[in-house]
Amino acid sequence: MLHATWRSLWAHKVRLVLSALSIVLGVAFVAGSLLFTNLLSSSFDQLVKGALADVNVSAEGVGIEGFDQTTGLQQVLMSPDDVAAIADVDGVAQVEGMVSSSQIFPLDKDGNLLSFPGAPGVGMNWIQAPAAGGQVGARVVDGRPPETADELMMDPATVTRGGYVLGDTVEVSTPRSGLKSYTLVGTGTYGAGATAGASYLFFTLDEAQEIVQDGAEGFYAAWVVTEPGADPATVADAVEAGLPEGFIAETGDDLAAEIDEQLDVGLGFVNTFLLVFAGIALLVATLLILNTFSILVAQRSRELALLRAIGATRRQVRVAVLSEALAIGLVGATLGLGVGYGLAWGILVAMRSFGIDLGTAVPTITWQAVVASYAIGIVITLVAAALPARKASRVRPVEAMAAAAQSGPERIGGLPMVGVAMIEVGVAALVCAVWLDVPEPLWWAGVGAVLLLVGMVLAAVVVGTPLIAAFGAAYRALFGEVGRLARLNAVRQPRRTAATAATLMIGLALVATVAILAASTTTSIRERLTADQRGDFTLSPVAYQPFDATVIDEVRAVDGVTDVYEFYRGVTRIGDEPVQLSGASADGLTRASSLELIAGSLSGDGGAPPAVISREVADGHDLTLGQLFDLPTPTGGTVRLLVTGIHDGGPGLQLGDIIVDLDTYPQLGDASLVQRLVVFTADDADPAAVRDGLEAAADDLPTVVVADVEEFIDARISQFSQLFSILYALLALAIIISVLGIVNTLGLSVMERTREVGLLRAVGMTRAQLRRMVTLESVMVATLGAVLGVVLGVVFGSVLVSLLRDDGIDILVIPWLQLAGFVLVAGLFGVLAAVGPARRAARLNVLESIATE
Amino acid sequence: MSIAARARGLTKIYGSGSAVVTALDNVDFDIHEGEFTAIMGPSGSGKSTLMHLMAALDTPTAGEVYIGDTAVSTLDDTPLTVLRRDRIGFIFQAFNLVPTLTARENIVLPLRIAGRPVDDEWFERVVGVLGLGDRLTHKPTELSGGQQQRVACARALMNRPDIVFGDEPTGNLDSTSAAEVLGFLRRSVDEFGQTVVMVTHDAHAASYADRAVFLSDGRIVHELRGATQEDLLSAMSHIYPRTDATQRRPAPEPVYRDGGHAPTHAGPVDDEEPTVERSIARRALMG
Repeated sequence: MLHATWRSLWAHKVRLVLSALSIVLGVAFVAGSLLFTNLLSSSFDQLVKGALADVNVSAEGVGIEGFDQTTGLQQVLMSPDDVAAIADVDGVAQVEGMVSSSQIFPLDKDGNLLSFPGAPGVGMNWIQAPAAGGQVGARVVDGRPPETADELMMDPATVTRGGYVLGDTVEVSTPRSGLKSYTLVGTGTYGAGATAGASYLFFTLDEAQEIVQDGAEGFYAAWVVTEPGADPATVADAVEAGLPEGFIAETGDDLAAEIDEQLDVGLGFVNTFLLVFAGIALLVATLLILNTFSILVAQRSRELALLRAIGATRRQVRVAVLSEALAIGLVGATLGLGVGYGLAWGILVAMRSFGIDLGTAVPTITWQAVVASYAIGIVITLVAAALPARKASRVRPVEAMAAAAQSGPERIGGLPMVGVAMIEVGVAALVCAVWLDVPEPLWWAGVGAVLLLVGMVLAAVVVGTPLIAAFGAAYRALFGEVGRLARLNAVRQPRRTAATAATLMIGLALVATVAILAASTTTSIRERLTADQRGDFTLSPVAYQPFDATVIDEVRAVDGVTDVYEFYRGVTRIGDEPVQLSGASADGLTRASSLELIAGSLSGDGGAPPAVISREVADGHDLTLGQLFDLPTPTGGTVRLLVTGIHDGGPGLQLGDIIVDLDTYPQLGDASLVQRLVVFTADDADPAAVRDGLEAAADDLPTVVVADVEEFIDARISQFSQLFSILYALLALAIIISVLGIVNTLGLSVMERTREVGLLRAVGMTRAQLRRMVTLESVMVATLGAVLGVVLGVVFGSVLVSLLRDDGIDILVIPWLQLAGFVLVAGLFGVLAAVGPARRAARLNVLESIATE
Repeated sequence: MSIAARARGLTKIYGSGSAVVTALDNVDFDIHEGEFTAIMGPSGSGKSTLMHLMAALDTPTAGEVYIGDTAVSTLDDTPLTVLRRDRIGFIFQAFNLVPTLTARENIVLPLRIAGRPVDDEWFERVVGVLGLGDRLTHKPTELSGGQQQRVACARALMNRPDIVFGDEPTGNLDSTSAAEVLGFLRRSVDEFGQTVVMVTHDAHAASYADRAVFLSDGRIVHELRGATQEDLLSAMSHIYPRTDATQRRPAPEPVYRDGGHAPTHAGPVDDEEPTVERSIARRALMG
């Protein structure tokens, strides 16, 4: 009996390949998603853990370099003596003072910045010490560490990107000293070497202090290595006891957890996305496999009936079908796992080409991926085969042998009704999430979305009916009988069609959601930025890092410039709470920013210096207009300020909670670094000339970008586009899988209809007409899926945007044209998917087809 | 009587090397207009091959088929398809109908594919003759085997083809249904002047034809006109004798009642006269 099964397997190689292909695709999809998710989180783990010591000493509220984007405030430093004192604490094996800045960017050979928008350029002194828990900390990869002031070491990824080799001269942009040249003497990195887009530059201690702290001795932090066996927490407490005011000691584990939490805001999104993606992959894979197997066993009903007729028991028939499924499932899952591994690599390589380096982390086949792959490959295949196998074994041999080897007409059954119910509940949940004041609206929305999606998959037959009817009418009008036949073929097995369309529907629902999210995000940001833009030109830094304020005078001197307004940014504390501090002139606040003042202005009466505070601060600290309050200075004193205005936070440039004037700011923050300049020009000034002048003025500061307003906005928005293009790349995977699914189903359907094809050819259908018929069917299925998917995507996207309103995405934009484009492309994919099956059908020999059993 | 289709030197060889099978061996064959021709022969005699070649469903290894005056072998696939669609009707043994279409839709399918209007009067007439009036909205699965074959007949006639080919059209039917279908084919010849060619191995089915052609080993070996079922059966038993000698029951020697030997042949016979001409003569006498 088994022998007969194997023989039959081999006898139908094409069928075998097609059915195995569906499993390979499904499993690859799931495995790829899982492997890549794993890759991402391990990469970030390496990055975080490798960059922390057993005990980390730093100023309170400053955080660890590289992850805190708000630097630029004046650093409070520990003296060398403070650091030396740490070494005497019990349990400390080694202590290294740290000097670091996240605004030191290497330049490439053309003088352009070698960094990615938003990624920090970390510059620090070279420390050779193990990281938390004895992990490898900073280490030399190649060459040697810097020994003199004009030497530097870089992380290997940045070196490669810049095309440098050891011995080259590298220009580096520094926040205070402008451009400086160094000799590249080595490559080195932290921990696992993952830089996630950041560049790492290592200098000698003296040079680091020179460029980061303007030559000031001292350290912003200390790297403490504990003795083996010492408890980091105990050591941290002991170390902290001896530290100067304002400094704390934290264990690496605590910090890692903290950083993880911070990162989760960004990374959590990616993780959730990938997880949802994997879940959807599972759904698509299941649909694909179920579809294929129900076709296969239906086709073989006659063969099975023959086996029954010559004496095989029902059990034997079932076992035969199931063992066949097991074999295909096993092979498919193994291949799929391999392909999935390849896919994860593919995504990694794609991300690298985007410039996102995930370090040494490579996709590793995890047990979860293996289990999931085989579970899907085997279990789902078995389930998919079991149903039709039961059916096949139940049929009386004579009946089955007389019947044509075709899937019978399908009854639609109860599932779509369950689907409709799920859609209704899902919509209700979404409505609750958006319009009703429910706790955890995101959860409501999530559950609603899942219900809606699964409901749509189940009920696609019913929901798609009007669409199919519309298609039928259009086809008939355009293509006559061929169009009609195509429509009839498409609805012949409604469940099969629905399942095939559903795979594409799922993919497009996600794509449309992302498209809406992208459009809404960029539009919201653009609106906000546009509303906030004043002046004719701006000078602002890449990566938000403040730049040397001395440039202001040069900018003022440029021909055609009438006014220049500068904005400073820093951190201060009010009470115990750290708040953002901004420095601006009164005119600057009104002319060069769009900040809405609820009351008052930034102008003093000659007494206490004026301050405009945000409503949150006002409410939180019981401050009103005319009241006095104190802010600490970095040197330990206080400045007494008068509340002269209250602002609403409002849109825009993230001016701080507390805004002080330019006379006061230097007392509270670091006025040597400016965040942003807004330039007004004379009406008759030549914009191009002014621009050239401004660029010349900022020539020493490669991190500073001169932009007119539009450019500035575009530059900001392009950062988001990059993120979204990665999402699209992932989603492309889903679409490819579903298009291959259509090819597969269509190919099997054509095979199943061989006889009918022969008949049609015999009664006069030309090859061209036949190809058209198959193509039209494919286009119909693809478009059906695409339209349903886009509709779902519009719902998901709208709900998501309305829930994210508080997070700054306040304008819902539905890019209808783009969505219509997706549907069109899906239709084209339908044409592509039909190429193979249509050719096959057209090539069939008329006589042989008719004679096919 | 003009010729609807003819074959000249028709040869079809399947396979290659040692597995060569000559299905048709240099056959000349004419199909007369307005005549009901049955092609007879046992399995493997080449009768289906001959029909497929004549119907432009297959291409010959050598020789030529003319449908009317059109030489078929030079045509590309598309003109060939168009020729089949416009000038030839088919009735297969089984699976004649597209399962997604109703009976009416199946009947007009070739016209629809060609994008031509349906001649309603002709449609009504054909459907009326076939007694399908109340079955037109049914799907093939809702029709009996006989009804399905009658729908196939109607379809074959809808485009008023030059020739209708039937490949064992009654092979899957019970005797009542078979009689209906055959009766219809007969009527289509008599009433519509339709040319019909049918492949069959059933003497009963062939007895509906005007002319029966016998094939054996890829050659036409015999031909009868206006033969009855008995004629056909006896011709078949002569042309296709059982070859297993052990089973043959020796024919009883013809003897006279008095026990004397009968003469071995009954008077002078003109062996030169082909059966075809004899049957024409007989038809003339009968007509």
